[in-house]
Amino acid sequence: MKANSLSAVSAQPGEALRVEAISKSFGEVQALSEVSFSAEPGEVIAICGPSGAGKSTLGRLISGLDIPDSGNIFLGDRALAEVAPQQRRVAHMFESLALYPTLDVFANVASPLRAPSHRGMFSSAEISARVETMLAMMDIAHLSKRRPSELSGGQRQRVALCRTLVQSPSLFILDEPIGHLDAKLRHRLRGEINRRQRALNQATLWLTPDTLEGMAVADRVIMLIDGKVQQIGTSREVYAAPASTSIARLLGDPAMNLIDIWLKQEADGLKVLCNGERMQVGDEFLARLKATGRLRLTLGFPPLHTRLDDPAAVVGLPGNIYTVEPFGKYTLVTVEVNGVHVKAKMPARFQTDVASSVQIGIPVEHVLLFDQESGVLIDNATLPLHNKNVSTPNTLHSEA
Amino acid sequence: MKEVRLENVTKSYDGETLAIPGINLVCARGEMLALLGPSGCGKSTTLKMIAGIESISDGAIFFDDTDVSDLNTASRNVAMVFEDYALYPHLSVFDNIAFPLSVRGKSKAEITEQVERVLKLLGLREIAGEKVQQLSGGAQQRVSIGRALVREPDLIMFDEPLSHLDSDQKVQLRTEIKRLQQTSKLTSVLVTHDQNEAISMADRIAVMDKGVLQQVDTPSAIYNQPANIFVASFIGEPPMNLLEASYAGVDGQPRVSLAAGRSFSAGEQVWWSLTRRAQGAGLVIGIRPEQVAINPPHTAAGALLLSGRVFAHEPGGDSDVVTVDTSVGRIVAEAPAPLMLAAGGEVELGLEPAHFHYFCKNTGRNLLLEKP
Repeated sequence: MKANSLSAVSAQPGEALRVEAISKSFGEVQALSEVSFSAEPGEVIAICGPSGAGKSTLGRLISGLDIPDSGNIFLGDRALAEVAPQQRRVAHMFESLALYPTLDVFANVASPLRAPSHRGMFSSAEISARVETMLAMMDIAHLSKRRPSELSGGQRQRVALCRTLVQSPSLFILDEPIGHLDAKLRHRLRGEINRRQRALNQATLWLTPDTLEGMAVADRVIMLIDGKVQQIGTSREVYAAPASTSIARLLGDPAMNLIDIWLKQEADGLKVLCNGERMQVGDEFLARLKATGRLRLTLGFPPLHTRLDDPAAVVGLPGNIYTVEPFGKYTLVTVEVNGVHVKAKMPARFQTDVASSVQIGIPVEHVLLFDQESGVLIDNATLPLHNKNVSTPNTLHSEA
Repeated sequence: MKEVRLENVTKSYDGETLAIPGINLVCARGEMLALLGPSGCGKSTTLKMIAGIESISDGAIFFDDTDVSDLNTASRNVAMVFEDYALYPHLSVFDNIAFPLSVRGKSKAEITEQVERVLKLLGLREIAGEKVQQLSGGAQQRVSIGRALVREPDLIMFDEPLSHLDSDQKVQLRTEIKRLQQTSKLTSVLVTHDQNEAISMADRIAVMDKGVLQQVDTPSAIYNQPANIFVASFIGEPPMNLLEASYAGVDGQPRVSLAAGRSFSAGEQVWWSLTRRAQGAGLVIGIRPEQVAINPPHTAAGALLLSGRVFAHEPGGDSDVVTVDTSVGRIVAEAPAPLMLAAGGEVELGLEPAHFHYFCKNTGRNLLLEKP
């Protein structure tokens, strides 16, 4: 029975989603500007961006809860502007959940399958089987007779997730689907949901402010900032080469270090300054900086490859230890250089004293160069995308 | 600032069931103590009882040697930092921070001096004249911390201070609070559901579940020597792998058996605990994902090699997470990115017993921490 109802879903032909230059404003606020992207059948797309970036608005325009000011949305060969929301076959999980307070968990999850849009698709036995499979996957089968008011926030979120995933629509939209769950459940569910969605013929849009979550679940990541699509790529592509500093700031835990530098002609030659502090640079790296043709640049480099007091580092900057945060599997050290903070992810056993002076080693092979004014990535010539072995990272492992 | 001590504090809302069945806890002077746990664990109730917002049903709360149990919030000299900042949006940064002093009728000169001190400490001098509604969430929360500090409280309570911030501001403010804690030696209690916040900022962490303290210790002890299965699986991302096992001495050789007939000899250093506590009993073995080796080129003597199939591969930033189905169960491994693995592919995992945690299946307790 279970196998039958699941195969019925995957047998349904997939439809691609095409979003073409949609814009939306609310009064004076431009929520979305010329947003374009596509999602292939079976593809999981993460739409990542900070709060207020326009993620939920985008979801609402696609499912028909709001109307774009301009632009077109196609699902398969249907232009959605001409299709009523309930006819669009979009299963949308809202961040606000929107459960029926008077229905129990089972009836909430079954409700879309009993709605007119699914009429005749499933027998009542099939509905039960689908709902039960879904409740079991989310670990809430034992709550099926409870009402939403008798559930915790995390449990309610899982009910809403079940109610969305149980459908067989043409497109899934999940708006912060696992945000309120504890770490353990979040890790398990993101793997299971991802695996399930990829096996379907329908595309899934996964909206989240947590870029690491988006990277973990998605085939492709769309970075949405200030209502504009800033970058589209695989997790690996976006992480290795963020198109701008505003994207780089949202990637990683913690995000890459970004420091502003200034190439200055002094009596004894061209020097590199970081906030007034003279930076030690090798000839090769200086040549790379010069080749950009710019005097003001922003350097981006990952905390995992940032060295402290490493005699082998050729590019260095003196600073003082600002804080030491001992996480279990690594120790995060923040170093201050004239008011600028640089983070290094060090082995768990690393010890140092606050305020002591330290030499930051900047990992040349991992440095990205951004234009300081526009924030745009201008040089990723030594992109470590395919060759991570150029330097070994500071270890992640706690050593017993 | 003062030491805060809870002695056998209980809380019941209905007079019958105990939401907090009895808590003993000390926050030392100059220490940040985090109350960490899932929703409904009692951490917010505990915070409210310390602050005097919620009454206690039994027991006593001391600030140094003073019993404050019957004092109301205003008489306890506790400052709060809330998750939604609770600032006056139309007032400037300066006036928001000055507010607690002006309502207490302090002189203008005294107010200016105190506020300037705090502005400097928190790096807010350049924006002192701006209205707070124009500031980012992170800056607003710094103003709210300034307002808490300016009145020189005996205790500062941070109630989910970072939960409304975007990730970059969260990391930044986390570091600032940590720095403030390390340099100014504030006595503070932090309530959070986010283990990263607790681990990074607090000197000690009190892990709670269902109203009961599970472990109170430094972040590294909580991570490396979890007291029980709850703490072990609540702390750590991705969570610790837990495998059911049994223990038996076979011909004087202590062996631990996993599912599917796989077994290994437990390290000598754990024999005593296991023989004494776990003979014939159910065990749960805990293994951190970052200590599972993926396709290890060589393995230490005594290591356990498991072949399996990749269930899911999730790219991360610095590291990737791989979930593998093996004969002993589903195992999550984490390793430096990028890993070249695809779902469905074959993979070999290496587990070293030296890294294992051993829990009693019945009580959940960490067997290696049990003392005779």
